[in-house]
Amino acid sequence: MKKILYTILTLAVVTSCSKMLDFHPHSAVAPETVTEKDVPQLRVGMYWEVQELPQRTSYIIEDLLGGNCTAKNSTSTIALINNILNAQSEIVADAWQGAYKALYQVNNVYSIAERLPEGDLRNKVLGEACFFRAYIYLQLVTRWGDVPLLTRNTVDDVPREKAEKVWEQILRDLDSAIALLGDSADIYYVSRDAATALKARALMFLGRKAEAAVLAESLIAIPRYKLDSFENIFRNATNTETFFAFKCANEDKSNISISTLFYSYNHPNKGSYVYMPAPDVMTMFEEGDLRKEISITTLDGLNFINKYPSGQTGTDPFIVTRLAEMYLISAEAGGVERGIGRLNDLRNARGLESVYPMTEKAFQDAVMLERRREFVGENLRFTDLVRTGRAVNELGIQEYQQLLPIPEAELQNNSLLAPQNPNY
Amino acid sequence: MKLTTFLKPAAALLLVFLIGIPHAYAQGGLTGTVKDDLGAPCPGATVQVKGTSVYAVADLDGVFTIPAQNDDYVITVSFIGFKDQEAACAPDQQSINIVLEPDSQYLDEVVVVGYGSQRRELVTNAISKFKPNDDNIRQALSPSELLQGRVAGMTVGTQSGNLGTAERVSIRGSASLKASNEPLYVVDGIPLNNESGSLYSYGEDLSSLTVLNLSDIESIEILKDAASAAIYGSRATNGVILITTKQGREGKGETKISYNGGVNTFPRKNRVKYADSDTWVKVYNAGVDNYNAQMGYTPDNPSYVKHVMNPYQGLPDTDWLGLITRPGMFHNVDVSFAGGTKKTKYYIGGAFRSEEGVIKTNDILKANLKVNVSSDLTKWLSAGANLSGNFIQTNRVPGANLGSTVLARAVEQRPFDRPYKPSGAYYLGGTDELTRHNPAQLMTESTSYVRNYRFLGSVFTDIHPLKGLNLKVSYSTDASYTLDYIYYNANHPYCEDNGRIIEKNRFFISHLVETVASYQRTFGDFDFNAMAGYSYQKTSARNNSIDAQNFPSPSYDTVGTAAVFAGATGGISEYAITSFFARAGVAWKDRYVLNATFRADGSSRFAPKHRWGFFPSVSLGWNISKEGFWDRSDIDFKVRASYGKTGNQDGINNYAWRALIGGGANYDSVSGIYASSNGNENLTWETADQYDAGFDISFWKGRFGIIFDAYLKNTYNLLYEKPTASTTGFTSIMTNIGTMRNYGVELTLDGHIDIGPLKWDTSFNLSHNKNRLTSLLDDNIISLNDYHALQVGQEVGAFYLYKFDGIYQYDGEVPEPQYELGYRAGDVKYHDFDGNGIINDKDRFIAGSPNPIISGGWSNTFKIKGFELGIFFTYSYGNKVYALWMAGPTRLGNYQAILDEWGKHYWTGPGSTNTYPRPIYSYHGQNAKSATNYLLDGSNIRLSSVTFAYNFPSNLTEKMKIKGLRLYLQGENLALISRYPGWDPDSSTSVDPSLIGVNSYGVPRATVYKLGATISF
Repeated sequence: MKKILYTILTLAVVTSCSKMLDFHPHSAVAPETVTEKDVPQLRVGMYWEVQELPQRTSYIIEDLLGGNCTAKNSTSTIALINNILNAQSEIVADAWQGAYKALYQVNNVYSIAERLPEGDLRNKVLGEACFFRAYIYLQLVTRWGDVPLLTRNTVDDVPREKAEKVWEQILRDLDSAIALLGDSADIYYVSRDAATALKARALMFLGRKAEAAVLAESLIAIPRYKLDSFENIFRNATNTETFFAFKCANEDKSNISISTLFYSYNHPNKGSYVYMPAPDVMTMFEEGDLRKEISITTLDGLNFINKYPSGQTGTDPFIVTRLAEMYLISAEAGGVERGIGRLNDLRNARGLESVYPMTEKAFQDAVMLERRREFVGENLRFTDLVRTGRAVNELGIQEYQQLLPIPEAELQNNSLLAPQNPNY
Repeated sequence: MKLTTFLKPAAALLLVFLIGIPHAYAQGGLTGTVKDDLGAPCPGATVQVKGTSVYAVADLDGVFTIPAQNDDYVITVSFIGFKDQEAACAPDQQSINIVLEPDSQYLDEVVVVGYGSQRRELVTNAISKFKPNDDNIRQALSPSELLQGRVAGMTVGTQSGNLGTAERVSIRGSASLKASNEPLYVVDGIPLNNESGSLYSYGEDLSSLTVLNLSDIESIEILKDAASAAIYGSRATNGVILITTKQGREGKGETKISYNGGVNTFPRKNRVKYADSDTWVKVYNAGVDNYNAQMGYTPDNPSYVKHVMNPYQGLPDTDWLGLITRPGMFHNVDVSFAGGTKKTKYYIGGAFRSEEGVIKTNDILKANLKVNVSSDLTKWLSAGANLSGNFIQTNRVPGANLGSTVLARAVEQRPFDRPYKPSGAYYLGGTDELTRHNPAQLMTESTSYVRNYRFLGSVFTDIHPLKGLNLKVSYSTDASYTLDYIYYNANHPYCEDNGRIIEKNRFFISHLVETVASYQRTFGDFDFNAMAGYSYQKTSARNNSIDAQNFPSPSYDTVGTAAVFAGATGGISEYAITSFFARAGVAWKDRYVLNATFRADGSSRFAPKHRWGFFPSVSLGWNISKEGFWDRSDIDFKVRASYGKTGNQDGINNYAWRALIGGGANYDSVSGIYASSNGNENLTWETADQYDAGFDISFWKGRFGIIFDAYLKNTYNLLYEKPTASTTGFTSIMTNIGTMRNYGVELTLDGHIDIGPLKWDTSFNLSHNKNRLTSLLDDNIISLNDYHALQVGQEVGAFYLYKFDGIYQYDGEVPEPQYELGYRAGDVKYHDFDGNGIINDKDRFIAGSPNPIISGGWSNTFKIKGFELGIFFTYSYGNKVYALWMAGPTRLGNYQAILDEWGKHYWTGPGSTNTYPRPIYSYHGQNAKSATNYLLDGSNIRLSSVTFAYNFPSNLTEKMKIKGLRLYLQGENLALISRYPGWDPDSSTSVDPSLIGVNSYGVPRATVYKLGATISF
């Protein structure tokens, strides 16, 4: 009798030992156990996070705001733009929050990789981190203007920084990336050339066109890169145009399923058909344009953007920079006199005759039209229009709508972000 | 047995009942008195001559008279609160004195409390008890569904009327901010895991409790106040529901078989009226005209929009609702065997159920087995086991939150569209031929089921070494396996290339080791009891899932035959709680009762320094009617008061406190890691202080009773996913922040009224709860979504909306910034709170509450001679419902179905209407913002059930050699009285307390008709 009691009491005491409340989380580890030796895995995680965190609409937001799309069952682009441009918009919130959440991961990797000994690995990872930081800030500054600038992570509230300071950081990071990076294994990893291309794009925003043209030409001059067919660029993994693309691979469980937003269920690619090409996108291609079939398509009276063919939950690579942009940067920077060659090089490669605009304005219009034809669905349109001062007229938006609103939730959670961009 | 053998007497009885009771009897006869054990008369007692319809009712002095009978006869005397008593009488006998014995069931009602039980008189807490029986059982799947409207202070809501849908049970309001505001369920001492019953959110979730067998339940005790619940410590803030299953009793074994079957039907189809084709086409084309005119599009412009025509002019419209609904048949069979000897008792139960829902592909299949056995092995040792094996398969239909949701995709179609082409093929949704997904295709071309297997078992041994001392050691387990399977075959819109299977598995097991010592003694006038125990419960879950695509043909439906594996996940999650707990109670002459409890819980979910929480409680009761000065022996009166502290840790991740570097961030098929969580080392228990005061009073020996409680519950350290600026790398962090207050009153009125031979049992309950968030981050409004926000001083769940100010009648009224965005006369005018002409987040306001001011239920049972009529109402008053479903069919000029009322009264010019906006093609959201015009009164009275039953009298059943036979007809959800224009104001797309009250196209709760029989022998 007593024996049983003792046994039970002993059992009670033994089992109450505090170890019984400690569990290993299995799918994660504590940060203090992560060291320099984990940098290769952290680097992979950085690619994935920068790719995933902004959500899929962030990859087409420039097309949605830039008049390339309407919502399903609408022919009006301005209706869609007005719908997105408010502080409660999920699309706006995803783009902003995705950018900063991705930045956090990049800064984290940067600060751990800094502890690595000098060498190839350190250079590569720091270079890639700099590229991604510039890539993220380029989106933030061109869409929102003054934004919080962080190169080290903090949990404190951070105020907005003047846009010039952000641009300085972008160029500083891109220069570092160019210095640290070499060639990459394939187009799904960042290379020196990708950083150079992104810098050319950034310089165009700053109006430093001549410098941009030099960088663009330096890339055009590399024999490895040649304008390629849209079939190769958007249907095959290998092409001679792409500097860098996010792989957004199904086997990595990527959620960047852009395709479903563009196709309907009666199309073989199947999708929920949220956005369709604007009426003027359907008519913008000239006869014989080799890009047309891969860019847009029509079935049973419905129109589709056709660059991301994987279907409903499939994912397609998303191209961040490619050679055609360098041709058009060079053309735009060169102006009607020196740029016409590059414009016609591109047109000819796309199956079109050369054009010879007479005035600078007609030439710049031609370059912008070519950019639109070339990059529809590639997330460049809205800030292209804003950068060139065309947005208000071409889109029918208000002056203030050239900057996006800061998401309401962010203003709530960080009082230092006030004031909101005007008129929102 | 021939049917006629028992139909004949039944018919005869029915006849007697219908034509009334014959009154003409011979003079003389038997006169008697009925008194209770204390010698007081029992007015209202019924005296019946056994086997006949002859009866009498005792008067105020307890005196009755029975007409003279021809042969020896037996009278049966019954009176509420006392045991039925029989007495043999001779034909010439003239007087008799009957002394009734109190029925211990009433006097010594035993209430199950945490880790033990108490006599009702010694209970000092707010505990409600519900005994499921033939009268009150409904076509419910889970225990909480049974309790709907039955218990003051408790509300039960569901996501929809689909079979097995997720539930929201709240006891005394919402005390936490995190999604999990559910009470703790404890079945025969095992705290249940109450994760969702489904693994893939298929537009709605499933309840994990539907797998349990309701017919095994002996009683359900609802521990509402902290003093009763605090013994469950850290999991008790939202109340505790104790479920006790049936045990065998000493005596001859009893076999019980019951069957019922019936039909589920879609309730009140015509409550929502959609416009027919003629109206639709007219409105749509008007919208097109408005659009072209406003945008300046002429027919030569590529953006010009053309009119539509009804391609089936002259043919009837499609009955889209009819296409997807059906009368769903169901059958339930229960069998039980119970009995025992002085030493060994057993209960064996089995149940089978097959049921079809109102949506064509919604079915369940359920089977349960149960064995409870206990035996006294020696004088000081007994042992036993309670084991149950349960299975349920739910064939699901997509709920309101999924793109393929069936109800919405049916009723939203343009009225003239067709589901099938002349060739028999589907019209495909999202095209000009069919604007929404084809619901016939969604239902037919997918297979979705969830199987839940759940074993609940405990083995225990009781040792009683000394008089009054008892030591119980037990091991229990709650083990469940869930398989969630969805197959979109190659003909389904979500099929990917050639079919897609998402298969998810979860194995969940919790081990509970418990040792409880209890001691009970009476010292003179003192009753003393004490209990102390220790428990350790560890719960682990293992999940994996696979997303397989591309199958040879729809006949291949296993993941092994897929060509592509698009995703696989797997994980392990564990947590444990170690607890010490104790209770002591003392009572003097049953007059003054003091109970105190204490619990210490340690949880693995918090960092070591914040792991332990301490939860005490104390309660007092005073049985005033036991006092010497109390001279009304027919009135029982008790007052109670209690205080207790409880905790909550539910709804947070098992590893929420730790900063983590997570895996699975893979790129280019190389494995990657990333900072997955910042963690919060300071995370700790959410606690609540609750005060309760109440009284129980009953008059006329229990024939009329009142139970009243008032309470105040303050919750501290609310566990809250605090939103953070994304510059921190995360948009939220789990934090203990904020306080909340709930206070309210509960009232239950019970009556047992005898009107001649008619017995009327009635119970009415009413609850009122007021919730207020008393502190959070700061006083600013935190918008949660388009409909809800949190704000200090407001209710959790408060609606946060734009204010509908009518319709702009002239373009000149439209402020400049809105005019630029396309607003014109005929569009909705939203109130511009800050007067800047822009309608933005600053123009939303706290617009109302989804929580009722009062709610409850009213049940009635009328019994006369074996016939029974049960009528049960539930009601709620003052709750607002945001009719999200209306935002679609009120977008005039959009490509979906429209409401008839809106299509016929829309704005056509100044002064035409201030309610219904103009049609405009290209819906740009301007007339259907989340605003107060969709916030409607959800107050309702529901005729929840009507039961008509006949219990065969014992003389007939004896002839049939059975113990009892009951036949019944039941109807459920027969009427809904409400101004709410939707199908069901009670269905909410979310069951999260801060997001409730949004009614989308959830399938409404079915109207049920059923027929059943219970036979025991």
